[in-house]
This record gives sequence, C-alpha cells and structure tokens, in this order.
Amino acid sequence: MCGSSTEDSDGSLAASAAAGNGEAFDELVRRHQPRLLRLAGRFFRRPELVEEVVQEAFLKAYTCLKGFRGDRPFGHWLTRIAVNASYDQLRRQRARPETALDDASVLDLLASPDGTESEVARITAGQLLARLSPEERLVLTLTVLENLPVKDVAGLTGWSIPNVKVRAFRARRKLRRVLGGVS
Amino acid sequence: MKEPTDAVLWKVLAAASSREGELPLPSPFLGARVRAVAAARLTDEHPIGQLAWRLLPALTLAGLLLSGVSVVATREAAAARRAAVASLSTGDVLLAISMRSGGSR
Repeated sequence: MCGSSTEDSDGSLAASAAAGNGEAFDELVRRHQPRLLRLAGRFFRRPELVEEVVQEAFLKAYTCLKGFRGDRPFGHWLTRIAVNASYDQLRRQRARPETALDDASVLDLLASPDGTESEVARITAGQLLARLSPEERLVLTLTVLENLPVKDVAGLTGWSIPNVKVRAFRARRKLRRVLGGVS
Repeated sequence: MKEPTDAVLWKVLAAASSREGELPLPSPFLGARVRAVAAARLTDEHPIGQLAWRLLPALTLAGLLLSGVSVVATREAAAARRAAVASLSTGDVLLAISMRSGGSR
C-alpha cells in the first residue's frame, strides 16, 4: 500500500535520524514542512510567526526523536507536536491588549463571500478571535476550520473526548456571543 | 439578530488564518537550522555547560583579581628596584661597574 510504505519510510528515517543521521532528519523536514506550514497558518497570519512555530515543532521533534516509538504514523506524531507548538504560541500572545471592534468591518467580514474579505475585515476577525482563550481558539480551529472529528482533536491535543466537547461547545457559544454583540 | 451559524464561525476563523499564497515558502535549510539550534541548546543544557555558565561570574571576578594583583606586584617590584638603586653609594656604583666590566683591581 502506497500510504503505508511512505509511513514505513518515515519511520525508518525517524529511526535513522534518532541514531544521528542528519540527512535523514533533513528528509523528514522536507517531506512534512509544507503540511506543518499550512497547519500553523491556520492559527497565525504573520509569516514569521508561522515559520517560528514550524521551526519550534521540528526542534521539539528532533530532540524527542528517541521517544518516537513508531506505534503510530510519524506524520500524526509530528502534527501533535505542531498543534502543541501552536497552542504555546497562542498562549504567549494572550497578553495582547484587547482593541475595540469596528462594527462596519465586522459586517463586511460577515457579508463578504468566502475568501474575498477586505484586509480590515481580516484584521477584525483576528481581533474577534483574540477575545477567545488559547484553548478556545485551538479547539475551534481544529473542529470548525479543519473539520476534525472530536476523537482526532482529543488525540492531537491530549485532552479527553468529553473535555474537547465541552471546550468546543463553550468556544462556539463565546464566539457567537462576541459576534452577536458587535453586529 | 439571528445566532451566527457554524458557517459564519468558519468564515471568521478562515479570515484570521493565512491563505495559501501568504504562507512562507518551505525552507531547504530548515532541517540543518533545527539541528544547529538543537546542538546549541544541548551545549547550554549539558551539566558541564550549565556549570560553566554558573561559574562564569566567579571566574571573571577571579581573573580580574589576579590581573589586579599582578599589576600591583609589578608596580611594587619596580618601586623597590628604584629605591634600591637610589640607596647605593657612589663607591657601590663604581664597584658594580668595575665588576661588570670584568675588572677586580
């Protein structure tokens, strides 16, 4: 099977990298970097922040390679690390002061067809999401934007399934309240 | 106002995330950079590395003290040499010159 041979290959590369083969690690980075950039891009818009999160994820993976047991696909293990790196970055950004929302830009955001929002509307969306806690932002991004099943989100975050459900419910309610309050 | 649907939430989340064209391009050097950063952190986190960092202020202070002691000792030695030369009598100087030139008459 094609997918499984890729994963096997990833597994053997991971084992080789764990044994000190730098080129094997470089190959893993080459294979998975685009996917991790896309994932980090779901949480952040600033390119330097996206790059930083991805580098931090690969750094964590590199230092923990010996702990990779191979009982699950390498890509899944790496995605979990990247989700945690994104979550850590969201928590670091938490100290940002809240800014006032402009009703017109929120309406622009909500009324525009997909993918054609103005820059102001996109900034407004960022400000809206800044009102969520890092946990709420994480769980909404994974469940709503990435459309992942609760079980997968639990696997990626390390939270229990009931915990994911409760957090997703509360996050949806909070974002709806924020949206309802300004528009 | 009617309650925002999941589609609206999706739109907000999508608007606040990077579009495909906005993402940074994959770097061919990321693997090497990560390995270099890991090596640097490993050095910092190694017990000997950590000990060196902890001892650095004490070692710096010790070095400065030793330099100070050396400067003072050098100055004192020079002063003692000048004092010793100044205390010689004319006869002592003439005797020393004649001994250096090999004469002992």
